[in-house]
Amino acid sequence: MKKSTKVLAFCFSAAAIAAAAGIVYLNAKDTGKKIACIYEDGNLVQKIDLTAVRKAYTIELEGNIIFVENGQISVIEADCPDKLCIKQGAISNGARPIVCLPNNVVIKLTDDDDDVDLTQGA
Amino acid sequence: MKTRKYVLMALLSSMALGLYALECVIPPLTFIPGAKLGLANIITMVAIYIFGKKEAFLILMMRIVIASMLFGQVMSMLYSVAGGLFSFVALCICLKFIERSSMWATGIICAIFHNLGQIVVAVLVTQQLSIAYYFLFLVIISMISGVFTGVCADYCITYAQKILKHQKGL
Repeated sequence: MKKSTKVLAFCFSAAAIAAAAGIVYLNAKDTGKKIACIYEDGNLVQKIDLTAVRKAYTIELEGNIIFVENGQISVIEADCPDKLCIKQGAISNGARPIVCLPNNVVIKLTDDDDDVDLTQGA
Repeated sequence: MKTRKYVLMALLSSMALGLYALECVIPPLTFIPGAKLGLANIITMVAIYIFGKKEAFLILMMRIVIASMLFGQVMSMLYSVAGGLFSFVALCICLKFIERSSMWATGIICAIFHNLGQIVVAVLVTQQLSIAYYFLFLVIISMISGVFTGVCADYCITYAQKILKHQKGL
């Protein structure tokens, strides 16, 4: 193997390992976040405290139906062709947001608990 | 011999379109938004080696505009343009620093920059920095798809140059 090949291979392996480590780190760091924020076109449309959800319910947005449960949130219906947001499954920590690019919907969990819409959870 | 060159460029553009269409038909393998093979980038890499930067850029833009008109919405064009521009700039830089024998590395760098461009647009569109999390996944996927497109381009360039050696005025 040529030296340049070795150097390049080393750099790319390092980058891949760094990315994997980043994923693991973020997942470990953000476990405590349970306030779901739903954004549509960049605007916050709903904020739900997932620990306060007793009975699971759905929220209907323009193109997506969101399923809210105790401790986790997922998308169960989407009108886009690829349905990636459904495949992304349920999220229960702050590391990974659910994103639906065709409808410009983002769901993420935070720990910022001011003005949470508690009436929705009851 | 300008006409011959235009015809070849048009041929490459239509090949890129064909590959792009093929990629649209393949159902998404992962849940990660933006994860794909990047087959059309093979053509950009081939074009930059057999023609040059200007022609490769034209072919790239032609493919993006026509593909967006045929299969996409306005939004997907924005993503394609950003990804295309980022990976083209990366390709031009790679051309200086990475030799032909390491085409796989060029492929990886182009793939990473393509994803970077798309994530930047996605962050701007959704105004959510948190979706940059998916970039970490995309970097890992880029390693696989980048090697594949890079090696494909390497073979294509070798044969294209053999064929074009006998053609004058390109």
